[in-house]
Amino acid sequence: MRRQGRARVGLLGLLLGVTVLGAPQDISAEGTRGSGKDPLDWPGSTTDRYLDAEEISAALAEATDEFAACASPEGVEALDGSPLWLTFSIDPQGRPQPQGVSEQDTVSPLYQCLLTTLKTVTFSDHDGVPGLYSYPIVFFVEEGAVRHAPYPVVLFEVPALRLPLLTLPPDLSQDDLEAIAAELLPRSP
Amino acid sequence: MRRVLVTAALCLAVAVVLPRSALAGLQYQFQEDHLESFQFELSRSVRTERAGVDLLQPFSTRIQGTVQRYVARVFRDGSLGLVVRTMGLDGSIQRVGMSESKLDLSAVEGRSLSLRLDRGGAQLDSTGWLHLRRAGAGDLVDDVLLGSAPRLPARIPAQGEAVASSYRMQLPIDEGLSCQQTWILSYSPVEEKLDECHGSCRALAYEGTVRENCMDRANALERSGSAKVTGQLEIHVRGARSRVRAHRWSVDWERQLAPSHGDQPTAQIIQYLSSEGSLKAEDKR
Repeated sequence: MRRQGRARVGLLGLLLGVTVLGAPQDISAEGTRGSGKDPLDWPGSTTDRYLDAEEISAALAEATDEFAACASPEGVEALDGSPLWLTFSIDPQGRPQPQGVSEQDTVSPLYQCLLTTLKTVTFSDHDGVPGLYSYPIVFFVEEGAVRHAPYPVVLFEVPALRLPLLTLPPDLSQDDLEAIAAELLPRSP
Repeated sequence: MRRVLVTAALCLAVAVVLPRSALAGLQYQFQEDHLESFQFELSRSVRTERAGVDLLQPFSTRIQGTVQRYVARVFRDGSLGLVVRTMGLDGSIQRVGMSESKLDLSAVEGRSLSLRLDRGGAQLDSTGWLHLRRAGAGDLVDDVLLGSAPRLPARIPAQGEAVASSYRMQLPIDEGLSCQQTWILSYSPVEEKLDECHGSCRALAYEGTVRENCMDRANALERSGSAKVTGQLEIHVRGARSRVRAHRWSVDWERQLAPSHGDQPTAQIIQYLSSEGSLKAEDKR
């Protein structure tokens, strides 16, 4: 009798084990994982990935020594501590497209060297909107050598959203959009 | 001994069939590392008036494609980080008195939103709106993205019963540009035989109202609106877990756009937007 009871308990345990193991796995069993950035480019489908300012400034910081090598101590003293602003866009393959350097003669060696160095920097590929980035090059002279202090901020300009609270035809041209905005918004330029 | 065994077996059956979450109401079931796809269609018609006169030429749009979603993250509180996006888009626009023309929606293709949802589908947070808006199609695919993970009722209503539910949704598009919506819905069962999933599928109809307030500080505009909404959910219920197999909806918005500073002379603009959409899971398990 006792042996039969034990057999039933064993059978019940086996049944429980099979049920638990066979139950479909639910995501709640996985606990926390991943980060806010990771799976936006799910394999096998269109990438949906945006560059953030932090990773752009990190990529530029890797070229710090190359940027510093562009300037001479005399040239840096002439700048009198003012930063030179590099402006550029980044194409979907992550290649920088230099637009210019602030307040510089476009044929000067410094200008050309900064743009050439910028072209060697590679960024991650992305499919965000093509914006215009600005990054300050801040030179200083230390023990007779030119240094460049990597700047932690990249400024990013994108075209402003026009009338985002109005549902407009998706094929509206920029000119039409501006005409509507001008009519609806007396203060708009 | 026999009683003990029967009681233990009953407890075991209840514990297995009813997950702990059963007490918390109807909840979503998601599989790990699984990309879910839904075929969708959406048609909208828009009329914009100022002082009773058409301000813009009325137009209607039709789009179809696939909306995909997957769980990107599980938060510590059990809420889910869901990524949703539209793929394979095909669309057209027709203005009154003109022929239908094809829309170029390539810029919206693959654009995703990240939604943080609780297990019942209530939206806790969302990101990606600005990137979606910058793609240039405005709010064209918003309903589809949000409709892929609709709010579930607290429970399956019994025949002749209606289960009420109200919830808020926030759309933080950009700094100084956001919308808040309050949905008040009533769910009721639909007499529809859904044979495909061996009696475990349910069709639920819902109807209700939505109230909305939006602010655009950059343009000093605000929008307030209300909508009547009806819809139908087809869900596969396993215990307290649910999987949406299909969703159809219809929304009729009346929105007022006005300057956020009352002293500006701009007249109020009223926009009427009627939208009908449907989603159907490609994998109907």
